[in-house]
Amino acid sequence: MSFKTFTYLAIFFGLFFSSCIKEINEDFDYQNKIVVTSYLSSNDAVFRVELIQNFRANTKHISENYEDIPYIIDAIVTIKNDFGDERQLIYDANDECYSIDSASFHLIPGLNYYLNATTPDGKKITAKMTLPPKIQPPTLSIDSSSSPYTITDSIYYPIYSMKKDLELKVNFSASGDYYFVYTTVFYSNHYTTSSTDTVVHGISESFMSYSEKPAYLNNNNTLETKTTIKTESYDPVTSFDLSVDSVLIKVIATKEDYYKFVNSLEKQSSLSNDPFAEPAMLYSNIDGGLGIFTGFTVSANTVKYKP
Amino acid sequence: MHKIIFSILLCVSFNAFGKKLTLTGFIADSSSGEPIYGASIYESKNNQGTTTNSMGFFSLSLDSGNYEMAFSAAGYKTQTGNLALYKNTGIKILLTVEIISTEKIIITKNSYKGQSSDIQISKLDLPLKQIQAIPSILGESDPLKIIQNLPGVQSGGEATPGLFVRGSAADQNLVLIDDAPVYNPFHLFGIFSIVNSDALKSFDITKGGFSSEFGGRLASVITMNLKEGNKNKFTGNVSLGLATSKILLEGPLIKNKISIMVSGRSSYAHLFTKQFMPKDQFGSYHFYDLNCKISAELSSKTKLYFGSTYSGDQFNITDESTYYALYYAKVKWNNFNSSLRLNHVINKRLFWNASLLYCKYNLITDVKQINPYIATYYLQYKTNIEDLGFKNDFSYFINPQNTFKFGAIVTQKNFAPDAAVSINTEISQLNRTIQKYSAMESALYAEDEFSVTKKLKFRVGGRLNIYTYKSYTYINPEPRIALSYNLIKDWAFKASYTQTHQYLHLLSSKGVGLPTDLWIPATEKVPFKWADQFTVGLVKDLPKKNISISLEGYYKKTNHEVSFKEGVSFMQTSNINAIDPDEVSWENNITSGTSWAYGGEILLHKKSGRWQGWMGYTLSWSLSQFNELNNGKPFYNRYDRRHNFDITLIYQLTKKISVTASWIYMSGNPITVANSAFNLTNSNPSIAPSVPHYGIVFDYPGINNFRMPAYHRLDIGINYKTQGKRFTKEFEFSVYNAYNRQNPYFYYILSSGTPATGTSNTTKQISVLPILPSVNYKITF
Repeated sequence: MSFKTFTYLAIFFGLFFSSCIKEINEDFDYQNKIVVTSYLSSNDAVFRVELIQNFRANTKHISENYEDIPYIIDAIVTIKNDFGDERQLIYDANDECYSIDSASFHLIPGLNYYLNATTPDGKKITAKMTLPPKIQPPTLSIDSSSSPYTITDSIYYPIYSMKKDLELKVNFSASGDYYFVYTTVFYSNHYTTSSTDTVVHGISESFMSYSEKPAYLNNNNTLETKTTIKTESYDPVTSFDLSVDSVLIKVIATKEDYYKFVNSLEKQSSLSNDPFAEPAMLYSNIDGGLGIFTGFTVSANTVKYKP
Repeated sequence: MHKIIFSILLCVSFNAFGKKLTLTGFIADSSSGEPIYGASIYESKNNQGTTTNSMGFFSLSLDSGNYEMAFSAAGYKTQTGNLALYKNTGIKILLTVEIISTEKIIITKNSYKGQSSDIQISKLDLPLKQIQAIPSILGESDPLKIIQNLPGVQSGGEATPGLFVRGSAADQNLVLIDDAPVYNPFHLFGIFSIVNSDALKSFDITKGGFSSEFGGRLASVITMNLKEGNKNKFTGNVSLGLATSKILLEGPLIKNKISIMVSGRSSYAHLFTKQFMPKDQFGSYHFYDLNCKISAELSSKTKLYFGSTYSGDQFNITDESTYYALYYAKVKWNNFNSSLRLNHVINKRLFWNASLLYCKYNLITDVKQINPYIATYYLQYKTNIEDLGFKNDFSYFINPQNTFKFGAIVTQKNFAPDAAVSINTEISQLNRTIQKYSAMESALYAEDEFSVTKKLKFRVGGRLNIYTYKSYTYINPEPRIALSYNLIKDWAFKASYTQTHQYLHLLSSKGVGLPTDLWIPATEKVPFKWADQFTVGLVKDLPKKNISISLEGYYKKTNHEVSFKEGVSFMQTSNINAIDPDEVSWENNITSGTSWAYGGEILLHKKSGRWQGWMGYTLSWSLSQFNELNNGKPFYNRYDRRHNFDITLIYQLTKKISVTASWIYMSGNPITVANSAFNLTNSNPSIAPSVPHYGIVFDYPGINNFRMPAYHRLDIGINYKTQGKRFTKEFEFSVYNAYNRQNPYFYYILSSGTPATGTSNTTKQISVLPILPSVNYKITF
C-alpha cells in the first residue's frame, strides 16, 4: 500500500470511528450561594448558625481540609421569633459560627423562628423553622433471647462469637412530627459489639448502639426495634460476658425539614461511590441559599435491664 | 400527466339498477404483485372515495350507474377510467411505478390523495420511495431515523436510542411489524434501527387521535409491514456500504400464489476497528438483522402471511487508559418477532384479519469498573420480555360514508427483569433468584367512522382493556373520538380526543450511558399509566403542487408515570453488599407521578415530483411532577426540547442523479448535573448521630436542571443511478454531520487526587458522531 493510499485510509477511518472528548469550561449555571447549617435545640446553652460559601462542583480544587472551608465571617445574621423578638448573632472566630447565648434569646418549643443573613456583597438568605414541642420521657420494655456461640474460621484463626437479641419496645407520646429514636445499650465487656442495622460507636469503656431509623409510629405511639448484641473474640474464655446493665432510650423530635435534609444527605453519602446510582437531590429549606435551618427537642430515659 | 385510460368491462345486471352496490378489490404493484397500502380509490361524480388497508383491500359502496374512477398511490402512476357498475363487483387494480422525470408533471386532484380528505389526525406517512432516497447515517436509509426529523418526533439526543413522540418517554410507542410488537426497534446507540427499509412495504406513524384498533401504549403507533415478495418473478438487490451490507431476495414459490421475501443486513466494522484503536482503549460492535415473509394467496378472498424479524447486537468496550478506573462493558441484545396472519374477505363488505403474534426481547448488560483505591463495581442488567398474542380485526364497509371496525386481542406477557449492583463480588457469585412476572392483557374494541354531512365526518369508538396480574384485574374503558370538517376547498379542521392505558414500563437510568433499560409490568405496587390527549389541527392540500400543509396543537396528561427514586442504586435495597433475594425488589425503588406535554407543530410536505421533501417546526413543552422527586416540584423531562426545526429536500437533478440535503436543529435537552458543592459543617454535638458531620456534598439544583447546548447538523447526499437491461445500479455518496458539529452526547466530571489532599475536578464533553462520509453501492436485479 502506498503512503498516499494509507494516509487517505487513515484519515477516512479516523473520522469514521473517532469520538471527540474535550474539556469544557461549563459552570452548569452555578451560582455562588450562602450555605447555612444550624440545628437548634432548647436544651443547648448556645445557639449556633454556620455560614459558608458553596463553590463550583467542577472547580479545580476541592478539599475537605478544615482550613480550606470558605467560612463567611462578615455577614449580618439575625434570628426572630413569632413575637417579633429579634436578636443579632455574633461571629465567634473560635467556633467559626454565628452564635447567641440561650440566656439572651430563648427557644420555646412550638414557636416559629426566622433566620436572616446578609453578606456585604449583597447575598441574602431567609429561612423559617418550627421548634418541635417537648415530649414526655419515653418508657421501654425489653425482651431478650440468646443464641449459642458459633465458631467462624478465619484465614488465620477461629473467631468465637455469641449473639443476644434484645427486643426493645419504646413508648412515648407523639404529636405527629418526625422522631429519631436511639437506644444505647450499656454493658462492660469491651469485646462486645452491638448493632441495630446501623452504626456502632464507642463511649469510654462501654459500648452503645443506635437505632437511627426515623420512627414511624403505630397508633399506640410504640416503636418496636430489635438490637442484636454480638461478642466476637479470639479468646473463648473472655468473650462471652453478655450481661447488659441498662439501656438508655433517647427520642429526638424533629420536623419534616430536619428529616428530609438528613435523609437526602444519607442517600448522597451512602451512594457517593456507586457509579450506577440515581442522582440524589440535597434538600434545603433556605430561601436564596443552601443547607438547613431546623430545630429539635430531646427526651431521654434510662432503663435498668432485668433479665 | 401520465394518464392511462382503461375501461373496466363489467357484467350488467339490470335488476340491480338503483340499488346500493359494492365495489371491492385489491390494489397492487404491477411488477411485483405487492399489495399497496393507503392507495386511493376516488369517484369524481359524487366525490366519494376510500383507501386500501395494509393488505391492499378496499370496499366502496355506490349506487348503480356509470362512474369515472381514479386509482392512485404515492410513487405510482394514477390510473383513471370509466366504471359501469350494475352489480356487486370485485376487481384487482395494478399500478405502475412512476418514474420521476425532469419534465414538469401535471397533477390533477383525482390523482392526489390529500390529508384533508382523511379523518385521521397526527399521522405521518412518508412514502417509502422518499425514505429510501434519504440517507440518514452511513448511507443507511432508515425510516425510524428519518421520522425523528419530523414534527413531534425526536431522538433522545446524539446516539441515543428511542423515539420520543410529543414529549413522551421512549416506552410509550407501539411499534408493530406485521402486527407483532417490537420492544427495542434500534441497534446500539440508536444509530440504526432494526428495520431494513428495502424489506418494507409500508410505514407510518400516528402521534395522536389513535384508532380504537390500537392500544397498550400512550404516545404513538408505528406500523410497518414487510414486503410480501414478488409474485411474478425472482428479483432482489445487494447493497454494499462502509458500515453495513445487505441483501434482499424475493420471488414466487408458486407463481401468483405463494411468494417469499428474505432480507438480511450485517455490520462488519468490528472486524477491523480494533486495529485503529489504542491498545488500552478499544471496543467492538456488531449487529445484524434478518427479515422474512411468506405470502400465500389461498383463494381470491383469502390470503395467509407468515412474517418474522430477528435482530442481534453485541457491544464490548475496554478502557484501561487510566489506572484508577479500569472499565469493562459488554452489552448484548436480541429482538425476535413473528406473526402468522390470515386475511379473508367474508363478504363484499366484511373484511377479517386474524393474527397470531409472538415477540421476544432480551438485553444483557455486564459492566465492571475497577478502582484500585476504592472498590470494584459490578453491574448486570437483564431484560427478558416475551409476548404471545392472538388478534382478530373486522372491517365492515357499510357504505362510503360509514365504516365499522371491531375486534379483540389477547396477549400473554412474561417478564424477567433483573438488575444487580455489587461491590467486590461478582454478580454470578451472589446467591440470588431472578423473579419472573406474568400478566394477561386483553382488549375489545369497536369504532364507527361516518359522515354526518358531506363536510363533517366523525370517528367514534372505544376500547375496553382488561389487565390481569396475579389476583388483580383492572378493567379500563378508553373512549376515542375524532372529527374532520372540510372548511373550504382542500382545507380541513380536525380534532380528536383519545384515552390510552399502558400496563408496562421501561425503567431507564439517568446516570449511565450504556443501555440499562428494564421492561417491567404494572403490578399491585406499581400502577399502570394512562393518558388523555387532545389534538386539534388544520390541514391544507395543494393538489396541483402535491403539497400538504398541516398545523396541529396537542395537550397530553399522563398519570402514574414511573421513575426510579432519587438516590437509589437501581434495583437494589439499601445494603449494596449483601444482596438478599427476599429483600431485592425493584418495586420499592420506583415512584409514580404525573407528566404533561403540550405544543404545536407545523409540517409542509411534498410527497412526489422533481422537488420533494418537507419542512417542519415544533414548539413543545414536556414536564413531570412526582411527590418523591425534586422535592415535589415540577421539572422538565429529559426529552423536553423547546424548538425543533427540520428541512429535508430531495431534488432530481437529472434522470440519473438526485441530491438530498437535510438540516435539523433542536433546542438542548435538560440533564441532571451537580453545579455546586460545599463542605458540610456542624457545630452542634447534640444533633442526631446520623447527620454527617463533615465531608463534601454536591448540590443538584433539581432534576434536569441544566439544558445542554442546541443540537444541529447537516446531512447531504448524492445518488447516481443507471438502469440497464438486467440490473439497476446505484452509487450513493453521503456525508453525515457535514460541518462536523460536536453535539454533546454527555458530560462527566473527571476527578483526580483525594478528598484529604484536595481533588481537581474538570468537566469533559463527549461527542460521538463527528463528520461521517460514506459510500454505498447497490445493485437491483
